Formats: sequence, C-alpha cells, structure tokens
Amino acid sequence: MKIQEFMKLDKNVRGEYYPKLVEELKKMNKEYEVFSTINEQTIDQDYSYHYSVKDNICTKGIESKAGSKILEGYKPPFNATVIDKLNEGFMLGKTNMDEFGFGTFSVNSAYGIPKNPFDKNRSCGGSSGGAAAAVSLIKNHVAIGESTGGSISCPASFTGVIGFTPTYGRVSRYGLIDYGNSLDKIGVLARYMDDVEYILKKISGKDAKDPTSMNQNNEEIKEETSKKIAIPKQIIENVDDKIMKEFWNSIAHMEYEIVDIPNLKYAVSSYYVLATAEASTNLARYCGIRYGVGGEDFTKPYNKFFSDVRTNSFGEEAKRRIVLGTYVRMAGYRDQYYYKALQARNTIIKDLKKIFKDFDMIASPTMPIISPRFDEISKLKPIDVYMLDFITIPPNLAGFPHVSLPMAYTPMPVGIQFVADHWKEGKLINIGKEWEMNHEYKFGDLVGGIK
Amino acid sequence: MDIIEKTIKLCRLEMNQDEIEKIKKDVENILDVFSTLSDLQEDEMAFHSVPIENIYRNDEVKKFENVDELLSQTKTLDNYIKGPKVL
Repeated sequence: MKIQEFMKLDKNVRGEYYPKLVEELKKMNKEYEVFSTINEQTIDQDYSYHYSVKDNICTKGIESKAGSKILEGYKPPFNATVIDKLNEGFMLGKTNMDEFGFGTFSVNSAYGIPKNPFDKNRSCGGSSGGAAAAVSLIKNHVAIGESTGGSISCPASFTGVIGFTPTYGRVSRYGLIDYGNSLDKIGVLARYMDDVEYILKKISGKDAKDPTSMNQNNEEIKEETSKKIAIPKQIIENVDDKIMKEFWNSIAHMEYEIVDIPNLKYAVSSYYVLATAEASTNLARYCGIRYGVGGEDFTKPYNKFFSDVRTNSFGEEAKRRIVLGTYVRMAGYRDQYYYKALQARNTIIKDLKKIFKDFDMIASPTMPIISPRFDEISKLKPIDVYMLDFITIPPNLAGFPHVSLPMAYTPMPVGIQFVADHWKEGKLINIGKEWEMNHEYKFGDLVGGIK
Repeated sequence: MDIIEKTIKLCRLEMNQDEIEKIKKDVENILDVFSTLSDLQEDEMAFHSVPIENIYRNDEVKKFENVDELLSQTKTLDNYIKGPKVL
C-alpha cells in the first residue's frame, strides 16, 4: 500500500508491525545483503511510515560508512538535513552501496553486495543498489538514494522500481558524504509515484547549511502535463535490441520525435573527468584522524601515517578514481582534461536547454543492457563499466531532474528514463502517475505486509 | 619516477610494482577515451549545472552543541587532537 494509506492505519497496528518487520528483515538480509546496518533501536514513538537510507547519508548515532572500509565505525554526531525532515518516518536501516558512489553495480561495497530480487546471480545496479533492492523486497517501503552520474536510475531500472532524481540543488546535500559536489543529488526510490511525490516534497527546499540548495525557486512542485517527447538519436543507437523493442512499444501512444544531439558524445568523458577530479579532493579528508578508521602509530613519518590508512582502507575503484581525478586537474594536464570537461558540460547544458524549448521531456531506455550477472561484471574493464552510463550521465551532468520507471520485464526488469528541464519535477510526477495506471509493476515482495 | 607514480604519491597512496603497472594501464585506457574532449570547440566553462550564486549570512557566532561527540571520533590528549609528528 502507499504511504498515505499506511499512515491511516491505527498507530497500534504500526507499533506492532515495526519490530516484526525488523526481525524479518534481518533474516532476508543474510541472503540479499541489502543493508549494512539495520536499525534495532527501541521504537519509542509512533512513526507514520518506514524508509531506508543509502549509507552515504549521515544518520546521528548510526554508522554511516558510504560503503567504505575507511569509515568503519563512523557514527555521525548529527543528522543529514533529509533525515531531520523525515522525522515522522521510521528509519529501517542503511542500505549497501558502491564505495562513496563509485560504481554501476554495487559490487564495490565493503559491506556486502546486494542481490537482485529477480535473480540473485545478478546485480541490483549501482551505486544505490541496496536502496532499490529494499523497495522491491520490502512491502510499503520507500528508500532515500543518491545520484552523481545515474546511481538512482540505474538500480531502479535493474530492479523494477521507480527511481527519481530531482534537479541539482532541489534537496539539501548537508550530511551527504560527498562524491562530487557539483553532481551529487539526493533522491527517492519507491513503488508508487504518489510516494515519490510525498517524500520529495518533504525533503526538498532551501537549507542554509547547503548553499547550493539556496538557488532553487520558491515555487511548490506542481504537476504539469507533457505533450511532446524528444528521443536522442545518439542514445537509442547503442541500446540492446530487445530493450529498444520494449521501448518503442511503450511509447507508441505518445507524441515523439527523434532528435540529433551530437555533443552527447562528450558526456561520459566530461562526467568522469569532473566527478573523479571532485572526488579526489573530497576523499583527501580521509586520513586516519577525524573519521572512521584511525591511524594508530603517531611516530610514523608524517606522510606515511596518512598513506598507510588510505592504502589499507580504500578499495581498488576508489584508488583508481583518486589517481585519475588528481591527474586530470594537475598543472600541465588540466587544460586538456579538466577545463575541457567543464566546457563540454556547458555545451551539453546549452544543447539540452534548446531541446526543452520545443519538447516537454527527453525519453529513452534507462540503461543499454539488463542487469548483468556477477561473473560477467568481473570480466569488464573499468572503461567498459564507465561507458555503460552513457544514458544516465547527460541529465546528471547537466543537473536536470529525471526519473526511471519500470517499463518491461524481459524477464529481468528494464526501465524507461524521462528527463525534464531544470525545476520541472512536476512533469515527471505527472508522467509517472499516468504510466503507473497503464503498467503493472512487479516487486520481489519478500518482507513485510499488513493484511 | 614517472607521472603516474608521482600522482599516486601525491594522493597519499602506496602501491607495489604490479599494482602500479595495472593502474597505469587502466588510467591510459581511460585517458585515451577522455582525449576526445580536445575535439570540442567551446569557450565557457560550467562549474555547476544550474546557476549558483554565493550566499552570505551574518557573521554570528553559534556554539556547536556536541563538541564531545565530535572529539570522540578522534584520538585526543589533553583537549588536543593527536596527529603524526610534523618535524
């Protein structure tokens, strides 16, 4: 049932439900590794609904590790703003993710790799893999996720749930463990668009503690209908045939036009240069003094103290991105990589803004493939993994709100991505509600449920 | 020391020879793809995706309530945070 129906239940029914849910969750988690921490604190008040949080969002007194060994034991002394805003909800636990958000399959997690509810040998996608799996497996649930390059859309597509990424700056990032400050966005994963809308409106808004949230307009998010859809030629040329067949079937009733956006070819490079550059500076703070894993031996030479902690506690992908990100912004290289990437971002934003003058939304499948098996993932080179993000990256790089909706089952879930102009979340909410009336979503449904 | 090894050191990471060779290959592969950025002709740079202006606030001192909890995350000695020797 939707959140607003769950809220109407007798509070005693909810009160009895939550501890039972936690027990069921612990059993399920041994098999599916969705959560890095399950909240076993005594429930001392009535909570209107339950939700989970991606583990890179700080929860006071509850471990927040962002999927990394280097933050093991870190219990923040404060809540992220989104957590304070969801104070009427019961926070069920922290969901597994790729370390700091570095990944497309949630396999770079130091705390367990979430398994796809449709096939345990396949990935949930990433980096909000745990969040997506939680929504599919737990009835009446919503999850808070985060996207830098597509980390809400990808797992939503792979697990058959709704993944909503708002405009950059719509939701405060205060308390989000940074990956790339100009790219990170907190968003919502859920089963119903009504639930997305409810939670999104709760967590959105200006926050003095996050200056980048202060530039949004003061208008309430309002539903708007859409008429014309643009489909980028560059995207659909590189998607699996089976998925494209489902896509054309799904949008047959819509008014659409195929558009040419040649500069999209720079999107993946631009994104990875900027994201890794920003990440390499953000991860400089993890040095064994202030958070998580601490250095023990203070007699070590100065730099060795830091490099020992970092070398032993960062995963392989984290190290790769730190090195790459440092390289592309170094003197002698920053012109050809970092500055060019910033220029490419500007070009892509301009080109997409032009499209939004004539079209309400841009549509395409969310991912070019279905969720791969874990043995297939281990054979991919890093650059192959990065290239799979070519559909989710453009809206993320440009800060446009976008949503992945369950589109078909082949039998693995595949999603459709809709992108709207800055601050036009209302268009996506509208299309999501309409879509839901004409599509039957399937979920894992292993845990929870009230008769 | 070549540029990748220098970068690894700058990042405060240590790698053995095998790890260095592997990361060199990965970085070369990736930068090869990134090098297509040089084809782009565009002058302006977008540091953010939406227009971001500096936000100012009054310079008011607010006490942080939870100093003890913050310090509990670190190793301390006599109200100082411990770190490695500089000299």
